[in-house]
Amino acid sequence: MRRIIALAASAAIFFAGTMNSDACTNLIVGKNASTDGSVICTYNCDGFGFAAALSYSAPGRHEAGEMVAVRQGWGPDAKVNYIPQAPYTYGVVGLMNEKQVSIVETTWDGRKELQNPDGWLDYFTLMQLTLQRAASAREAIAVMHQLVQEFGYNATGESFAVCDKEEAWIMELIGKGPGRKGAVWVARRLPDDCITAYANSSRIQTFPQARKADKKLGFCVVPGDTMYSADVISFAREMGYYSGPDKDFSFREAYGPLDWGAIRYCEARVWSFFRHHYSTEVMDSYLPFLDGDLSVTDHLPLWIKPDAPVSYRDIQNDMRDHYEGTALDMTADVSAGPWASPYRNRPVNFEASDGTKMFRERPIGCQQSGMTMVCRMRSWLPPGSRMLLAESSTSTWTMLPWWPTFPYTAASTAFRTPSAGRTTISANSPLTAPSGCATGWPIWCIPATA
Amino acid sequence: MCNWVANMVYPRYSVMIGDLREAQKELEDFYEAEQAGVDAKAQELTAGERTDFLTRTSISYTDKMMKRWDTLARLLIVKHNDQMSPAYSPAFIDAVKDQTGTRYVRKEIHR
Repeated sequence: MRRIIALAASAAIFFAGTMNSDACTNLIVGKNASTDGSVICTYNCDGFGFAAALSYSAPGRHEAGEMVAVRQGWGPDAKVNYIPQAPYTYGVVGLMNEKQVSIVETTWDGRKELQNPDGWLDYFTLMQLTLQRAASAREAIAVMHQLVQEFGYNATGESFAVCDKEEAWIMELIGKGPGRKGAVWVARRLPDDCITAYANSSRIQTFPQARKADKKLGFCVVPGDTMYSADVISFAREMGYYSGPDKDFSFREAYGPLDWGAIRYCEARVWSFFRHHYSTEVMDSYLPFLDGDLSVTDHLPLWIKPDAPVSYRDIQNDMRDHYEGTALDMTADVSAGPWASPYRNRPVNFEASDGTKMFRERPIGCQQSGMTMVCRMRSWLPPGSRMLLAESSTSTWTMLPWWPTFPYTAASTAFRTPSAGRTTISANSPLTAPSGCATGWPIWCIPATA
Repeated sequence: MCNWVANMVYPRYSVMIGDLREAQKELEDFYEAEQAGVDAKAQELTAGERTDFLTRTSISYTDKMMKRWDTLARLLIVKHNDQMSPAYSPAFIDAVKDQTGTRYVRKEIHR
């Protein structure tokens, strides 16, 4: 008998049409760069007008022939396709699984012509399926490669931080255009004593290369350092994005070259994060770059070794950053209004009455976060991982601790408003329960059959 | 509810953020202080007990936050009712002066 299990999790997290693609920040800390030896990755998931549900999918064995329903695109009207279920799926809460693997993302879009609308998997579905099927960060990257090869990828250029209790990998991926399955991608292992960040721009440029693809994995591996799809360079040549020697190939230049917005609205956030943990004098030398002057340098470091170990409390504060204390301080000039507010209405780009093209700064801590999380993966504790979550803007919320352990035996009874819709204002949960799931606040989605 | 507090704070940031940060710090300091004890207790339990314990802990933490935020919300409404909030930002004051010339400059009366 074929049993179909709906991928309720991805339907629960995002509602139709409200995701703003230029809209997220990840902060990533290697285990020797943190105060307690944990690997940390964070996610400010910034899309206007939505509040994410905390999703849950139960661990378990599956029979041969079981299928998983996946939605092709966002929203309840998206086409549903079915892919074979894995023999065993790990339990997942939010974006962390029971093996302490976490995956977070930011969207950088890149070359528009590379989007494949026929692909079955968007980035979020890809993340959730992968978390169900991977026990380590390296395995997760291999699974992501296999899934997009087999089922196609329909979103735009993406960065992922793929982390486990030992290491953090940064990965950038983009499709190959209409009608072509698979994706070109590169992944680099963050040195254990370093920190990095992503904020809606492509950041990986050149990378160490292998002589040929690993036969078993089907992609190239420089052990413990870099992994990449075997055609990441040849595809760029085919498309006319690159024509130089292999060794000088830059992923960013080929697939997501920087423009003004990518520098000022995106790299500036990475800069501000780095500046909290490194010489401010050195970081301020990048100010001309942030102002669009590429004559001295055209990039920030991919990662840095912080001056002092970073705690998760530091990271929570960094997620609340509005460039305070820097030349870009959003509280400091008249555009902050009478009460020095670092929050700006949309859109980022606008015009003065004389037609001058203007912009508003784009901080890490913005008002439109639909969900923010800090994933802390701790190798020395079972259960190790601890996730801190806030629904909506980190700056003005408190981050609440969660522990993804399984199986859950009790649903939340803190608050229950099963009939509440998306716009219900109440002291209790404002979110609609996907069918078959019990919800409350904290938001859980526990399949009725669990 | 937390969006309600956040959206009250955004436009009147400088006068409201202090109270918010105080409540936020109170809670986050509490969660941090509890951490070692929760981890230690969790390790003593069986897998099923551990899940129950951690679930109930998360729920109690969230309840605590919701209660504190309700208190914060009411404080913010009452404290800043009727635009009692003082202190326009210096940058704003200077911009008003630059844009409006002598309109808002107090003058002396000479009889």
